[in-house]
Amino acid sequence: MRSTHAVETVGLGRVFKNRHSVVKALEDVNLKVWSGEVFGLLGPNGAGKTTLVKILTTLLLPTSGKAYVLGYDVEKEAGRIRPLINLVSGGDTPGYGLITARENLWFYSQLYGIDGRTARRRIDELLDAVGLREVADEKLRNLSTGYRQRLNLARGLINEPQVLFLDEPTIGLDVVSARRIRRLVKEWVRGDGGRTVILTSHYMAEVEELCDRVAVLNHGRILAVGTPEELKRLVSGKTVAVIEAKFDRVEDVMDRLEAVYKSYEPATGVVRMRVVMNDWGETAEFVDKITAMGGKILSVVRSMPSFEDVYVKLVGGGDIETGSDA
Amino acid sequence: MISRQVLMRNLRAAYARAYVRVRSQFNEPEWVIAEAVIPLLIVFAAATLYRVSGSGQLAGFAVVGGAMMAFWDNVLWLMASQLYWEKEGGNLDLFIIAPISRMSILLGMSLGSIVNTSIRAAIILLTAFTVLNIQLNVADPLALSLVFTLTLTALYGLGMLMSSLYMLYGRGALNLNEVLSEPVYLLSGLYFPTVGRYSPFPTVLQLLVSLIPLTFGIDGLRRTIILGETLESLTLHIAVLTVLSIVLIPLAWRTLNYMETLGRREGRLSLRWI
Repeated sequence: MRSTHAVETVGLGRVFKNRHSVVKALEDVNLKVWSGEVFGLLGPNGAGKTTLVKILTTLLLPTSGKAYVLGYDVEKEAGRIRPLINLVSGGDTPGYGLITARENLWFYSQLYGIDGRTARRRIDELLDAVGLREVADEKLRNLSTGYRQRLNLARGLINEPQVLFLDEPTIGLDVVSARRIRRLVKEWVRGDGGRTVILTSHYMAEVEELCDRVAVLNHGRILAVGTPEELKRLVSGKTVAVIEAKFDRVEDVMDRLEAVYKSYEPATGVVRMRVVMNDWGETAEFVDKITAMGGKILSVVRSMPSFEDVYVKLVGGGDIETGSDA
Repeated sequence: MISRQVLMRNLRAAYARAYVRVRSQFNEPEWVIAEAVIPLLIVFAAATLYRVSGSGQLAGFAVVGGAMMAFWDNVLWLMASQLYWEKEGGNLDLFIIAPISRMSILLGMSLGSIVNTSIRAAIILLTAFTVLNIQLNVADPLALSLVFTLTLTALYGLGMLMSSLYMLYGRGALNLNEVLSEPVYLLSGLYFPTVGRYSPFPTVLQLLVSLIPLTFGIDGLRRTIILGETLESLTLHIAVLTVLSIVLIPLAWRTLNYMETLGRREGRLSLRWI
């Protein structure tokens, strides 16, 4: 009997081998994504998010375990999955520079065998939806990155997929363009109860805003799965100190603070740390530690635990983006 | 058995890919002129050399060879390497997840390339024939059409095969283009006939160079355009080109499927860091 899940993985693994190394990109990944969900995959670089998406979109074969999309096996039934899905990778702006935005969309519509009249209607609707009507007849190479990324999203919707994979769709975009993309995704999912989105992202705010449920990955393993609210409970009862400090040799300190979520603003020389603690009393201990490293404390503010802190707790710091502006 | 729906989807994909190629060229028409100039210069040099040495026919041979050079350049740089560029641009992933055979993309690329390059070849032919005042002697237009069609079918079949191979091996395979470019000009007879009675090559080498579709193609076109030969004297050319077409296109198909499976297994198809 076929699974009713939009996506299901069972003990999924992927190993990359070359002459010099063996990399376990995914290890024993077990996931179930329901139809109609926006499901987030959150993790730092190299966590395995993109590898998982490549397997689910039939671009890559697993080395162990099973993966199903809409009940079809990605290894044996790729041909059945492909008409029902699409992929939008934020870092890529595919298409052909010497033809127009509209012609590019038409080209991709033909890869799905969409007849001329339906393709024209759908292209007009999508151009309106992504706000590209005014540049529809401009050559792709003349369009800005923001326009191209919106076009890429329209391209991903051209075949009206049942499952849409969004791999960091707002990466490199300015605030306004990123918000527009997020709004479009929300509207698209609302349009039909059966539409499912699998979203990978570096940005906490994006995942929290869009996703019904989230899986946090690191080193190819799933660390936690749940709604953003459920995950937030992992840090309930905790307290968060937001500490700003300056250091003489900041590059030495960053490595020593690897278990702490931090950001560094080169223009001001300020390191901003967000530390999850069991008790506010632990703050003094942490402040002493920073002072011992030669740090000058600028401010210490008590804060409520956020979704971002869940990530810090699970992954242990790193370079994740808060994404409030993304 | 392929259903009508699947067939139509693949034909639409092939047409769309051909459209992109042709439309792109028409949006940048100066490319056509620029890419016709270098072959024209080579043609003028070779043809003038033959002319001053007293052979008008050999001068005509050089012109036909030069026109076909445009097709070989196209097969190397815009067919064989194309899937590599599609991979770099992010299109290859989208071709793979689309419910089509990648052969329809290659077919579309080939058809678009043939249209584009035929325009370049026609410019080379007409300019060279006019300026050098070379006498045309077409006695059998049907034979000419047949040889031309079969040459392009076999040649672009080779392009599809190379494209399948280049898909995985990327930039390393691109160096092969440089290595293959000039030797094929020489061996396939772009400058002078390399098969038949005018060939300076020994029989064994003539047999080997006949595996390049361009060799019998150029020779057949010279015979029909310059020497005025008819279908009866071209049966060997037609047979060789037909066999090459029959072998190369299915081989390209199988290679593409194999490479795609290998790429999915090893991760080299979609991951650009591997």
